[in-house]
Amino acid sequence: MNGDKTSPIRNNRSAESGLLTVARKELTDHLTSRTFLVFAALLVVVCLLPFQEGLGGYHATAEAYAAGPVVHPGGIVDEFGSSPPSAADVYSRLPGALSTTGAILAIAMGFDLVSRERQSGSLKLLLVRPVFRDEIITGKALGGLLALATLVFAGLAVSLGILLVDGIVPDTDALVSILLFALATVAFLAFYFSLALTISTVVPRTGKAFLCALVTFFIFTALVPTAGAVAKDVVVGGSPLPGTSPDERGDYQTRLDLLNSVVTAFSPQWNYELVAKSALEPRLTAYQFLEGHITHLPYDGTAHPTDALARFWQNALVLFTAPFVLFGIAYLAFQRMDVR
Amino acid sequence: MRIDLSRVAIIARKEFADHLTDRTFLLVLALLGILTLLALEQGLASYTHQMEQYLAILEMTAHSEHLTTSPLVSSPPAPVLRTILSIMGRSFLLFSPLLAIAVGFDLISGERTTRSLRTLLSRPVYRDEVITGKAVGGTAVLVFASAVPYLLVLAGALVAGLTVTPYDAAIMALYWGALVFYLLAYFGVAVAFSAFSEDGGRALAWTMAVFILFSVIVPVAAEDAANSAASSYPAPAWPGDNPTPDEVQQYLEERSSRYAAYNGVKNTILALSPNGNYETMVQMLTSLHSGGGDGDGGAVAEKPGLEDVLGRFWQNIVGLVAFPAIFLAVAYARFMRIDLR
Repeated sequence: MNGDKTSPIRNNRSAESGLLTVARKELTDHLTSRTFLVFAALLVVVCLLPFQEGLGGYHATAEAYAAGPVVHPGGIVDEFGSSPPSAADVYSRLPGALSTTGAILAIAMGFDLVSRERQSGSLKLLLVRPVFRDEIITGKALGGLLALATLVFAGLAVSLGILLVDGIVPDTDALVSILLFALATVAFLAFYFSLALTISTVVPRTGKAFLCALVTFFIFTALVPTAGAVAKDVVVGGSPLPGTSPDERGDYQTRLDLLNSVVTAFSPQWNYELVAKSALEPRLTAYQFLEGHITHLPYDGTAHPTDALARFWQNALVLFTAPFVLFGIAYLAFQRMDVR
Repeated sequence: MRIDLSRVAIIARKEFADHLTDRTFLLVLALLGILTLLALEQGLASYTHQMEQYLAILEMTAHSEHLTTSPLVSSPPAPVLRTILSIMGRSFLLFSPLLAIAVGFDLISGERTTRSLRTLLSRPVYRDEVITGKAVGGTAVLVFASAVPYLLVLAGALVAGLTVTPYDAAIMALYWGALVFYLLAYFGVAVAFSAFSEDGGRALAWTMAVFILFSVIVPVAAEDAANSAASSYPAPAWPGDNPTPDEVQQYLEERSSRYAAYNGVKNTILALSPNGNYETMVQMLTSLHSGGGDGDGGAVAEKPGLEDVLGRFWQNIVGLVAFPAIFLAVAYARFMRIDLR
């Protein structure tokens, strides 16, 4: 307390400016790094085709809607073209397409933040400067997050420009949906970035750090869904045989839904896909990854952009808090790190 | 000049032992093993379930005369091994390269980072022997590691009481061979980047960029190019309600030439990528295995011989061999000229 009294202004100022200095330096480092640019270019290329398909789908739906509903003999109305297209639909193919490349981009950004400084010995030099340890790790995380946000929002701006050039004017609801989708994407990328940052603090060599991050990615991507599929066989059992009672069928469906929600929460990719899809499509009521079923409400023009997100609030919560938890671990590990 | 391989053998043996005791490598291998076991479980469970359903349907149709079995519902499930192997092939397509990359990325850059390369090169050993020994050791470890999942499947199948015919075993060996070549392709890429980059992390990042290029972008580009190539042959229109045989013939010819253009372009582009080659080989092996199964709806296809199989694969095999060869050659040339200070 006494120490604070002697130079309160200097302490406060250095706390703020130190953090911002580190964050600004990290941001420019990321944005000019060749690895980041190569992966960002790959990400853009990966997104091109789904986006183009989305545009085609929008125009096809618009034409079908303009032509009027198609009524099949028997009074069944064709669902395709029964509702006006939304500009958010153009983005609906992106979440599945960008998750793998995006995750590797985020890992490539974070894996050497601390481990390279340790390996090259610059961390010691950095820590003898008048900057607190926590400012360094927070600044690094902040810089990376800003770089990710810059990338996503730059892509968003360009894609909105393409929409306008193509003659699609998004209304307010669609804009909100697209914005929420972008935020979910940033959160998903931030998860893998924090993961890589955490591993980078724990593992001293850069190569090993990247490899460990990839192994974790591999566990989340390969093992969790496969284990879920096996758990479906073991815990839920086979789908009911023809001729079982409705009670048993209902029981089976409950168990299946529970398993689906558990597996989805533990798989960052699926979780992100679910949240992003529900941001883009407010009428989404169920997305079962294990079977690949998607359930929608019928179109009645009353859906608001955040409806589906409210339905899947647990998943949204996991998506947005997981990066902070990982950052907390990185923070602790960095504070206690023995630098020699 | 007398060729003395003893020094190469020493380095290769040391690399082999190093990799086998490396914790990360063992972790990745264990993950592949778990993936295999899960595929085994999945395949067996789906087989049992399909069998139950098949029996239930048989029973239902036996009790009521008015129900006739459609061949779609009433065919017995496909052979289990085929299901398991194709599940494995699909999951290995995306995840086995990690094993090869884990072996390759630090081969040269690791020694540079820890500065042990200089010490190593001051010993009485030629530069080319170092890189050859490392490549041989890495290859040996990959051949060994890729056999592990298939041995697990074999063991699991025997424990589950499945009959493994020699034909099944041969197919399994072919799956293994395809996996070895696929792993070698990414091993080559990782070693090449390892020779160019001074630190392992960078080498790994560039290898992953190549992996994304071949696993995500090249298939899409191949599809796109094939579509544009096929668009020069316009989609033929079905000739009216009462077509003459000549018109039908013309329609079929136009359609098949369109498909030929599409497939030709797509396969040529995919043959340049290890992922495409591996996928093609796995798909071919899966379809091959269905022909060898006992009782696929009664129509047992002729079991193709080994020459036939190799004849169908040669393009992919050439692609899968050339790919690592080029990258290893690049790594070799680069390592010979590396400036160590």
